[in-house]
Amino acid sequence: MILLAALLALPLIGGIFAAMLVNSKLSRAVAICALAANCVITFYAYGLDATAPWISSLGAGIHLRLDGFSFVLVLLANVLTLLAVCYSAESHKRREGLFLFLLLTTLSGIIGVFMAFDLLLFFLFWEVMLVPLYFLLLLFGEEQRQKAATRFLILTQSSGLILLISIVALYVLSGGTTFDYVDLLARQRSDVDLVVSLGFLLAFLVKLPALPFHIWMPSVFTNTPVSALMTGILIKTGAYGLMRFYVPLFPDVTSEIAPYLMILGMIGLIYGSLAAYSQKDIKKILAYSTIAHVGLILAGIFTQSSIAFTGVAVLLVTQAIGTGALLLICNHVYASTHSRELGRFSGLFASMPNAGVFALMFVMASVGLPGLGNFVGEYYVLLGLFQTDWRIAVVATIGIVLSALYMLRFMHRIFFGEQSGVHQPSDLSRGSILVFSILIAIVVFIGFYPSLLIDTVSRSWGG
Amino acid sequence: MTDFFSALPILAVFISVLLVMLVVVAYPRFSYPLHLAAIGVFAALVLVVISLLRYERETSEFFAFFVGDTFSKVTQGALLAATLVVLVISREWSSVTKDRGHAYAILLLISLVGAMALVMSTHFLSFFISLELLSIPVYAMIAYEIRQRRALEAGLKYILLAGFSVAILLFGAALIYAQTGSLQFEVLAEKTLDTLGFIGYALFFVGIAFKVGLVPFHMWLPDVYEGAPLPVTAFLATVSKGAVLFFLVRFLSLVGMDGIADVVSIIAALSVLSMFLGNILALKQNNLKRLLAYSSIAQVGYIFIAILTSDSHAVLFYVCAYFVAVLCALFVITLTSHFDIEKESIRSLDALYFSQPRLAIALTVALLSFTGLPLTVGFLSKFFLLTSAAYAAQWSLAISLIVSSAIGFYAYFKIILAMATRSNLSMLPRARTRPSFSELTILVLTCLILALGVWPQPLDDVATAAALESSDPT
Repeated sequence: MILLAALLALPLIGGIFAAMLVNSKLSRAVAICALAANCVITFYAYGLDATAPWISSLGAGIHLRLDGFSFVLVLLANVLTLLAVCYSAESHKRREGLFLFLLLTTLSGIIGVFMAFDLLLFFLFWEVMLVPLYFLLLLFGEEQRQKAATRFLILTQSSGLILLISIVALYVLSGGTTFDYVDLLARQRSDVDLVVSLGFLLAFLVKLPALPFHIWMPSVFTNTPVSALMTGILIKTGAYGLMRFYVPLFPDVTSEIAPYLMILGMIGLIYGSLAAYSQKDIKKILAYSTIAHVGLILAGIFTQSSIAFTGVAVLLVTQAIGTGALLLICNHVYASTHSRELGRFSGLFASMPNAGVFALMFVMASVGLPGLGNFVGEYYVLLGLFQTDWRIAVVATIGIVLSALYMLRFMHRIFFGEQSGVHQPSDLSRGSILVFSILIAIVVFIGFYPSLLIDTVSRSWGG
Repeated sequence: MTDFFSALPILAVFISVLLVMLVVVAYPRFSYPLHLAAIGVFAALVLVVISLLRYERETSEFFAFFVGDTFSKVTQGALLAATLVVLVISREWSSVTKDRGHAYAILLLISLVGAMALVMSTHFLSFFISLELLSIPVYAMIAYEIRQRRALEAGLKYILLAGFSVAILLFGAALIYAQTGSLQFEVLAEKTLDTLGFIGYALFFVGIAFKVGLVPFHMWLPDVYEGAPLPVTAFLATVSKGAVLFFLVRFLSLVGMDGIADVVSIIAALSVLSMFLGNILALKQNNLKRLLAYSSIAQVGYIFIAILTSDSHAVLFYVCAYFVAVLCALFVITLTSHFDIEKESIRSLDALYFSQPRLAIALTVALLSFTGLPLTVGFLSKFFLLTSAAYAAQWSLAISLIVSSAIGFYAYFKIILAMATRSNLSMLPRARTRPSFSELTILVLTCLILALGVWPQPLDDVATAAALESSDPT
């Protein structure tokens, strides 16, 4: 219990201390210490399960568990935040403390989401992580940050409230004694499960974001501050919710609606790819590429097969890393060229070779080159899809091929070609090179030795 | 001894009324009437706590008029605590307007006596006297800044509408009496009703709806909130409204709702209307007090979910949580609107995150509690409402609660956005140094919102202990 509580509390306490310190270097040091300690604790807390009473009149308890799947995601969130803090070293001289505080409290919420095994507790973290993130966007984002932040908050909050109704309905239908996930799994199935499950589905699809609910995503991506690494992990909570809660809690409903959602995923994959190809804004390309990837993830989840689940878990990790890294590179390009429009500048490779090399690596990963982590995930998902429905798998394969199209265009138009339109070309600093090296090392490691990750996550669904 | 202890808190407040009167008469230059009142209120609060701890489960009746049970003790405690904070807010205000606040302290205490008696009432006679004792001093408090036009206007509006509503309420009580031959709530439960009794109950509830500002009887509320001085607004929003709501819970638990099902369904419709209208109209407001007024209309709509599903535990929890949040918000607004420029408007909060970050954070926490975001006590209180609606299978009420809360987001986040925006106005110097005691109070309120949002067990236990027995939702 203490270790699991520490995982939640440490970023929060570190954040509060960081906010109170005036010296920005000192507060960053505090934050880095807290995050590093949290990474270590994550290893010790692996496999723990703890319960404690919370609100007795509702029967809600505190139930935290760190199984394989949760462990991987918690560790990933920790590492990415740690790297984000290291990376942000150059950009937030003023208000550093506030920035760190918001970043670390968001992390606390995300870790809570990944560990909560009590539905009320889960909902609490689910909503809570959005508030600091909203303020991060609002206070540290780029030009259109107000619009982006408000749209993001309204959409996710409203869907969250519908999730709340569903949770309460599930609670009352199961007898009104417990919110505990394990107990609710064993409940009597009821006729209205379909209606109840819709609230869960909606909330998770908005967070993913699956196709009709993706409208908050591009504006958040384009206005996101240096906490880009955070955005990568945040949207993984939607997929986590579907895999952890939706599919196990409503197995009958899932099989019933699975075909429709796989088709929705495929539409998202193709639409996202085509939309990414037609974007001018370099960050929007990444946003739509994420929407495309999410389509694949959605289809993978609704195969309900443990092979596809494993693939999705790998994809969650590698995409969080890849998208975050590419967003950071875009931020760097924007800082040097003051433009995000494709065509305004080209041939940056000559002036920033390091950034170019890293960009190329992450683009390759995103395209699904064998030997890099994404390939493993995509392979497993496609395997699962083939076992379920070969037509879907064919469409998915075409979608993956499309990703090469827009990602290579992205790479080509920014870094290659005639050098032009650059005002203050400056390459990555030494610190950023370290950050990117660690990220690419993780992706390569997963690509060459995936069994460690796969064994860890697949224990969560007995694969 | 139990009887004595149940009556002691209200006596303590009454004695402090007399004490303040005597001191003020003896020393016309006495400049600490608010402090004296606060001591009296605090003593009463201590007595409530003692009697709760010593005589937890014992109930004492005072003839047929009043009853001193755990419910009345806990609600009195909540009213006293809210009054204490209102007194701290009043200190800020009277120090600005150079008023010693002699009459103000006396009026406030008398009104508090009425509120405390109201939650103990079990008879139409005691109810009526307590209600008037609660309301009449408030007329004067609203119009306390007699030179200010809008205060005078607000006071007059409140007098007229309150008088009107009391007349309706009395007529309703008379009709109920004509039908049942009794003014005692417990006796009413056993009688069956015909049309006349039904009309009586309907009129009675119209009167109550006026008092708490349920749509469509809410018209006076925004004007009065806006016109009244800030501490009086705080008093209206907490003590005056809370006492009536607490009373209504007791009334319905004694009378029972089976006999008046038709009236109940009408009130349910009105509460849904309140939720939506309150939140939608809050969107358009630029004056902070008006915005909070509309938000309080919506909140009353929410509370009626629990009242109608006779879940007194949820009502207690919600009202206490609302007290904390609204006092915190109004306190911050009091401290930020000292200047005449853009007084009490949203623009007076421009760039507050940068000029006064501590106040800005406190106000943000209070607003997040209004929206019902997790980790604030507002979330759990809404959650209790949702579960009580779900238990009673009132899904339409539950969904209205959710949808209207989502609308409310916009209104509250408008304020939060304003606090994050820089404008020319924010270049004005914020010269006044605040007394640290006020900041401490705000800090305590903010921490309460967050602490109870994470660990609600203490408040939950109190509310469970105080919940009226006849109203268990089974």
